[in-house]
Amino acid sequence: MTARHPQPRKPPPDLLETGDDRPRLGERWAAVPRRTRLIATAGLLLTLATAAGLRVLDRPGPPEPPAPWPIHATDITYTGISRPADRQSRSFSFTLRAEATSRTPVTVETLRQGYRSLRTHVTPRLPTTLRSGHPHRITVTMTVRSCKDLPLDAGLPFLDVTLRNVRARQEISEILGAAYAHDLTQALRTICRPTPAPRHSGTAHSHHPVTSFRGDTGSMSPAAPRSGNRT
Amino acid sequence: MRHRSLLVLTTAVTAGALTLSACGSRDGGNSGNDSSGGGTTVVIGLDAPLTGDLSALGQGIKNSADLAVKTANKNKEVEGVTFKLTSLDDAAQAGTGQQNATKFVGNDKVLGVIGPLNSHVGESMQKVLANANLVQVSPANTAPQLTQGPEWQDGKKVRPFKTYFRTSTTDAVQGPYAAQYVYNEMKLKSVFVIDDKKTYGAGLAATFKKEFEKLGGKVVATDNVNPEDRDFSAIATKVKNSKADFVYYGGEYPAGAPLTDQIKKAGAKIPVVGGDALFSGDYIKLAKKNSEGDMATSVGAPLETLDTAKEFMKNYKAAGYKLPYEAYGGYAYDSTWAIVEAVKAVVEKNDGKLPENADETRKQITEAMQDVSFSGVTGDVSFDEFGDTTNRQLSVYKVKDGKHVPAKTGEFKG
Repeated sequence: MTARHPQPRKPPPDLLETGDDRPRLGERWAAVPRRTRLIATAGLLLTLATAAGLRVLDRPGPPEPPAPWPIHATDITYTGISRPADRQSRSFSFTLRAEATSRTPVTVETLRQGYRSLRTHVTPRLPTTLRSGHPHRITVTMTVRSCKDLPLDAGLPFLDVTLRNVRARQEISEILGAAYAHDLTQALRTICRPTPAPRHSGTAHSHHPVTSFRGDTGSMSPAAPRSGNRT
Repeated sequence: MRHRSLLVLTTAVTAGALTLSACGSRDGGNSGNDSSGGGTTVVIGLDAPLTGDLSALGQGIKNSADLAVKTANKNKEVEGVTFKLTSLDDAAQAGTGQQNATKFVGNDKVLGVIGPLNSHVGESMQKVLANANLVQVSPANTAPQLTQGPEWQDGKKVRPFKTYFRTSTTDAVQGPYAAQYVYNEMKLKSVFVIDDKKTYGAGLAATFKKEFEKLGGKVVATDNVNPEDRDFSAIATKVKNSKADFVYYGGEYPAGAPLTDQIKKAGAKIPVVGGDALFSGDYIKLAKKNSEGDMATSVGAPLETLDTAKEFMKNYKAAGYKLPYEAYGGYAYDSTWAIVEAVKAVVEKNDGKLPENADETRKQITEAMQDVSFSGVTGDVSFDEFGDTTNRQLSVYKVKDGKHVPAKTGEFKG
């Protein structure tokens, strides 16, 4: 005779049982009070929406634009004579303000005035690196090697500058403007065309040599008028 | 079943939320106003040589301005405004340019003018447009007196017309820069100077000659040509006999190209150097192989070094114009965009619309142009107190293997 096992009773809706006969998820969900179900659903939606929004925000942005070419990333300005022309040393100095205008640093590799008869010395020593927000003061000293064939009053003298950044190496002409042209003319004329010393009608014992004056070889139109800012 | 229904609902709402947030992140390029079309049509007039010898340059200007107008409309750049370009051919004639200026003035919808190409045409148009307060932006005029007055060379700069602006730099820099480059860098010491007696050519040759002589260079001879001629055998023989190191030509490529061809054929294997009006593919084509080694200066830095220009070059190609943008395309695009920006400024100043009176609108646009500033195809675009561009870069190009190749770029701080 087989013993009759009693059938398990259906558990009340608010009781969960473990074991093979435990209720499925849906049944459990149905067992949760309605208000609780609504709050849980809203919370789930909010969580999912927030996660989706955060994923959008975390998406990688557009690629960084390439660094500009050096000429578009550098500003070099003439700021005036720092040491007037001296006939003895045959030299003079002027200053430039140089700065990188983009986030990419720019290196000044070489700098010179393109006249064979002028020797150029630069401080700080080149190469020097420019950064945005940190303007550099560059001092250029020019020494006249020979006055022969040296253009004394060019209207548009410029500096040949080699610049380099991560994008390119570029040799450019920095045409510094009317103030530079004027000051360069004045300096070169001072060194290459000395003016006569004044005559004195003193005693026989006074000796005041007269400096030989080359004079103008023709009509010399003045260089560009003094203008521009000197900071 | 109930739990399945809830799962479907959850998925649908979440998907909807995700869709809305994704739409928001793609919408970065729009101006925020979804209205299609504009309530007001603003006409931009354009004057250039669309026919004749210089039509290659003129068509490049026109196409580039057209691209700018299309872009402004597509982007709805100015709220409530649709731009339209009306182009008139001046065939490089001063009289025709002046007539075109009168036509533009007579059309109330025209609120700005682009052009012209030629400086002598610009001279004929300026006063007509200025009398009507109609702003004019040239992409290509380079004669200094157009912005700085007739005594600019003596240092007395006086702006003749407040309505006139240009995005290209001037011959005051171009000629001397060429002289410095050729003398110091190329070491060419003697020159035969030729010009076409026109405003641009004669002016450019004069600024070149003055600087070249100041540097110590020797001008062995000077001469003129008639730019309508094509037989230059007599002058080519003179050049050969002069034994000059090079020729400087102040003039345009339709005459410059056969001139260089005949100089080389006469036996003078020397370069011909000139200004921006020789900087054209047509110069090389018309000179056949005898342009090799020739040089030309032109306004601006080479477009290949400008990232902003790459977008322009790509869009120009995509637009399918038959002819290339040539030397002034980028400048024409920026000149047109400057007018768009000026119109935008006036609309913003007047509570979202243009003034009702056309004369008042033109006056305000001219005033607004003085303060226009944006990053353009050719670099930063803005104007100084004379109406000249503040972007003063220029380049020397050399013809090598049948193409103009950049040799050097300069930046002028004046």
